[in-house]
Amino acid sequence: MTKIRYRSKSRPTTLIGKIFHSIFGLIFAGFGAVFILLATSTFSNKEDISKWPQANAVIKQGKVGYPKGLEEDYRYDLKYEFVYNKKKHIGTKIHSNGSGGDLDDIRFYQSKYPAGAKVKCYVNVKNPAKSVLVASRESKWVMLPFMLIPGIFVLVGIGQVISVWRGGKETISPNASSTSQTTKLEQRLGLALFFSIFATVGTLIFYFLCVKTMVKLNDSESWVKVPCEIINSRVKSHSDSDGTTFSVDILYRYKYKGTNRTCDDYSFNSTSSSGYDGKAAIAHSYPRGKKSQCFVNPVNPEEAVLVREGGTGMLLGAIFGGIFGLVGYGGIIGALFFMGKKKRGTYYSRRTGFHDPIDEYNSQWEIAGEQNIELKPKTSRFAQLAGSIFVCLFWNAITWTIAIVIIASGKLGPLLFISIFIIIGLGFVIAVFKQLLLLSNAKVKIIASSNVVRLGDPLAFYWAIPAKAERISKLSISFVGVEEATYRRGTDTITDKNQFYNELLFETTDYSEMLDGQAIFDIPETFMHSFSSSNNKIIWQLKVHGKIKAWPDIQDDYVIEVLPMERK
Amino acid sequence: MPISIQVKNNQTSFKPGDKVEGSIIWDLPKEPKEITVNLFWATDGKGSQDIEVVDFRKFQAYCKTGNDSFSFTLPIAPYSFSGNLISISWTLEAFAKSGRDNCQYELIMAPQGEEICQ
Repeated sequence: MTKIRYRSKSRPTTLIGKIFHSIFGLIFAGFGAVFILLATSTFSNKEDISKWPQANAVIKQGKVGYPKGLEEDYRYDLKYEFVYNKKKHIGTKIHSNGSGGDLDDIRFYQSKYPAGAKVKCYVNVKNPAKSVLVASRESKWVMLPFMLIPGIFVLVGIGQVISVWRGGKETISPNASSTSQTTKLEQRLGLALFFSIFATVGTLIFYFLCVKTMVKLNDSESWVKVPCEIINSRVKSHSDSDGTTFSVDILYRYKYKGTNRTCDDYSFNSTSSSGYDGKAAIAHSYPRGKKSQCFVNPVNPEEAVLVREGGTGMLLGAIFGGIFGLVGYGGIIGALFFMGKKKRGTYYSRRTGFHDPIDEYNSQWEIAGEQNIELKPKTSRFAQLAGSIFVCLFWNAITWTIAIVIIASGKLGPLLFISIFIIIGLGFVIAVFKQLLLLSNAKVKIIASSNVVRLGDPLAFYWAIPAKAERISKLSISFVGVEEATYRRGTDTITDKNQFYNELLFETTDYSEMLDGQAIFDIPETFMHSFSSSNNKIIWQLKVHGKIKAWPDIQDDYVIEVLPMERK
Repeated sequence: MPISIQVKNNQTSFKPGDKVEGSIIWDLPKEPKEITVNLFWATDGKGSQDIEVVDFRKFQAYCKTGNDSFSFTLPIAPYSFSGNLISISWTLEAFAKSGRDNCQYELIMAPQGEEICQ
């Protein structure tokens, strides 16, 4: 007999297990904490310019500076004069980083700091030439949303450590139908919370890059076409630790209802991405001084585009938003509605309304199976194909995106590492093709006397192959028993299977025998019945194997519920 | 042993639907107020453990020492089983409401009175 050890799925009982889980939790929390500390220290290290002394200043000069280099920003080149400590000083900086920004910033500076305007400036007492007009460009709270994910890491990590060492008597509460139920609910909610991050990110990406752009495209049908002149045209590069990306940056001026305006939107939502040549071709087609035409929003004439297209952002939004959304919402639905769902034959207690708990408990085995029923395969071929397509798309979308970014960056070193994942991705592609080929295979119809059989009773079934039987070189039908054990290793959930019984019921290479036939199998009383709990299963099934030359074989499993013997 | 379980005739092998009769005896440093006896099955092996309490009895216990009798009717399943990945075992467990004292008594429940091995 096996010795009972009390343990729950999430709480290890041995000291080594507890220490291992605690270290894992601390590392998890540590990553989040380090990120939060780095981010907060970056902000706290910034000098608080608002505490600098203020002085009255007069704007002497202000004009827009157009970028020429790949990584330059627009500038508002200005000079302002102020008096500090009875001395005249000249300042040129708007904020601590200078006077650059995107076109909207420059427009704002232009309207706020025209030549002759009287303003206040913050004086840098150590070097008055480095005084500024604006104390801070961004609020310290701007980083708060980015703290959410590392914050979750910290909470999950600390939660893991607390749950490992949480005390309590390791006995089974009689009020709980199963000790695994509570943990299961926690796991489901935890998993749903984890997937909600993917769902939120996916929804936001899809909404802002795809839906909003589509609405804009639709609205732009009523926009007015007006002549415009190209002021500046270039490809702008954006470099960070992940590599370099490029965007089309064309500045043009147009006149609408008597007012001259400038704009730098080429299309709707033209975000930066890898790939220089396509963007360079667009920039070259709009050289400086070229007379062209743009579309102006009559409701907000500041808004204009050169072409009414969605831009690369819309495509990227659809791909990445879609993938993240599918994983996120699929995960939430799976965790909340399908994970640990009770199936027939699963153990649970409903004591309310029953006089004798054992009678109620036994009622789950009083299952009346359907008579002369056509059995359905455990997993249909279409479901297998859909599953393999999903895995293939998910894996290859991520892998190839990373690979393309690496190739575009020109640094091919990391490509060697990613090539392993590309090869695995090719394996998934092959699996999809195999599933596609399987769709064309012959279908074996199995009609059983019942899909529920008690130990000691006979299982009678009839099979028929309505079409394509001639392609099968050998057909065999077996009655097999399989153990399935599900456990967690780190963050992975693994299911191990072991076939403990295999009785060959029928085998033939004769075409006429394959077409149809019947068999009866007496299920011995000494067998184990079907069993299904949250993490452990004993499954009985009819296994049909049709061998086909130079083609994927037919391999379908049909589950048979084997019940314990009736009470005598 | 502060709490112990004694099953009639020290029987460990049972068939589905059999009665399990016995008594609990306790000798504790302070009055336990309540003692619970659980009848449950549990899985063991490679998979994460699943446990289900099938039936239970609660006893009022306002003395430091004492005894009381219990009787359970076993359900028809699951059978005691030992496979390569999974095993299923039946256990009686008694524990006091206050304190950490508890004891267990392992049973075999199968039609032949022996654990089913695959």
